[in-house]
Amino acid sequence: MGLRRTPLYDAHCRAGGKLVEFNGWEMPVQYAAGILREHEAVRTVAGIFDVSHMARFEVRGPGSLPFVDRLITNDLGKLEVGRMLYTPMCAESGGVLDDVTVYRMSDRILVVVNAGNRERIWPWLETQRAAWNGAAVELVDRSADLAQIALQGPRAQELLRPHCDGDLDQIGYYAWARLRLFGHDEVLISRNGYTGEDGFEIYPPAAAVDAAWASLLATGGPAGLLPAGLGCRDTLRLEMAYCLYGNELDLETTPLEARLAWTVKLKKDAFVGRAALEAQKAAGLKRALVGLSVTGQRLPRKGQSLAHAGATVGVVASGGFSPSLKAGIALGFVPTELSRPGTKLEVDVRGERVAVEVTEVPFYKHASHR
Amino acid sequence: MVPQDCRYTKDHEWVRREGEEALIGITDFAQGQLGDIVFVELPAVGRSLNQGGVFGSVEAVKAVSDLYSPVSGEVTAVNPAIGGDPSVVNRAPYGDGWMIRARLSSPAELDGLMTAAEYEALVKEEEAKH
Repeated sequence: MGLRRTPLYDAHCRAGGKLVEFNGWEMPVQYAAGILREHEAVRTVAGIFDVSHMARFEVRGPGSLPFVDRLITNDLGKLEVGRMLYTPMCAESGGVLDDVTVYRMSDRILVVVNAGNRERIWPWLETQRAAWNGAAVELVDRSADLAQIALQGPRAQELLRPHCDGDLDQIGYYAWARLRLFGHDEVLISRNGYTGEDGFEIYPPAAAVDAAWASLLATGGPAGLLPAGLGCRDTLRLEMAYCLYGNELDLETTPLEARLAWTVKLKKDAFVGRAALEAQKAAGLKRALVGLSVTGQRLPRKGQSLAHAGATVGVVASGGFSPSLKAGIALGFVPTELSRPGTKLEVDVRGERVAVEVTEVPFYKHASHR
Repeated sequence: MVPQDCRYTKDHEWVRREGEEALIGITDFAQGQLGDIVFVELPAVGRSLNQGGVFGSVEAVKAVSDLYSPVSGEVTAVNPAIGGDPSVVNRAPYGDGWMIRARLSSPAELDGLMTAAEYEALVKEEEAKH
């Protein structure tokens, strides 16, 4: 098969994980409870996700900050040590190479990359480094020796406390710390996620993550903590209208089109893609990503076409069932003039016209993140 | 174990003959592969069925899947329980989660479908692939 496995593969099998291929990895789409119950657990208690398939690249050395800052659209220069940010990395065309989280550390920058883009981003970083004239930069791939788990839900902090010797309250939203966790010193932990709920991403040593996972489930299970698979990771992020690379983001899409203008800091120093993004902003956007609410029970899916007044005008980027709203929701690209909330469109769902309406996002408005 | 009193298709539907009529649904393997089912589209009573033809679809959280009729005939009933609670198909695919009842126009078609033993072998094969 040749599929890659994370250090939690055995844990997934023990928990009844339904393993599927995901970007070359064998990952659980769900566990025994199923997507709906896992989704509900994250919204009401907490769920724990294995996200070790993502890549963890460190950029070390005195030039690390300006080097990374030149490759992202968001502004790393303004970020204090101890904080992190979400940002696209663009090509010169302005199209998105990947969307990543970036941690500012005192002597290095950690870049967390989507699993599906690791084979693209590592060579991209190496090429950029070869052309780099600034202070010294070293690239280190930490993907194999560090694991990555996401504990997400309104009770995440309470459920993590028995395993942590440090003060979790000191970690603000999109900040990180190194704490004694699961019996190991100096484990990287940040308060962020991809669900809309409060929660953490934790980076234990790969050799320790199986025991950490098991002990978290042992103490949290009675409170309702569940292992959560990629299936509910997708329904949770879609309810928040968070972008998924390959759906809302790709090389043909700019961050400005994908509702990520807040991550594009055109006033900072030169960065890859700036000229194209400036030109696009000056010319005005031709298309926009919008939220779509669905009437009826047929669910729009990725790739289906969007029509207005009988003419095809756009495409569904992501669509499916919202377990929280118990209705269909979707994100789609439409011409800017059709992006106003209330605009009525139709999706071609396998030959049937399904009525949808442009709506404000997030779809789910009661998330606990701070 | 799959019910011995049904015949099966390679697309994981089952059909259970009851005199001139038959009940049709999807197998436990099929519901497990689909995951949580949130909507089932079923044909109207009176619609004709062709063996191998699409008679509806199942929307699960992750994906949508067509339903293929194991037999030819005419729909005489649809399961009213599914509209209110599609998860009944996940819980009881061979029982309360049946989908349609049909009057058989060519009962001999049943003989060409898989027996329980043959279907179990197919499921084992597919499970080995996963």
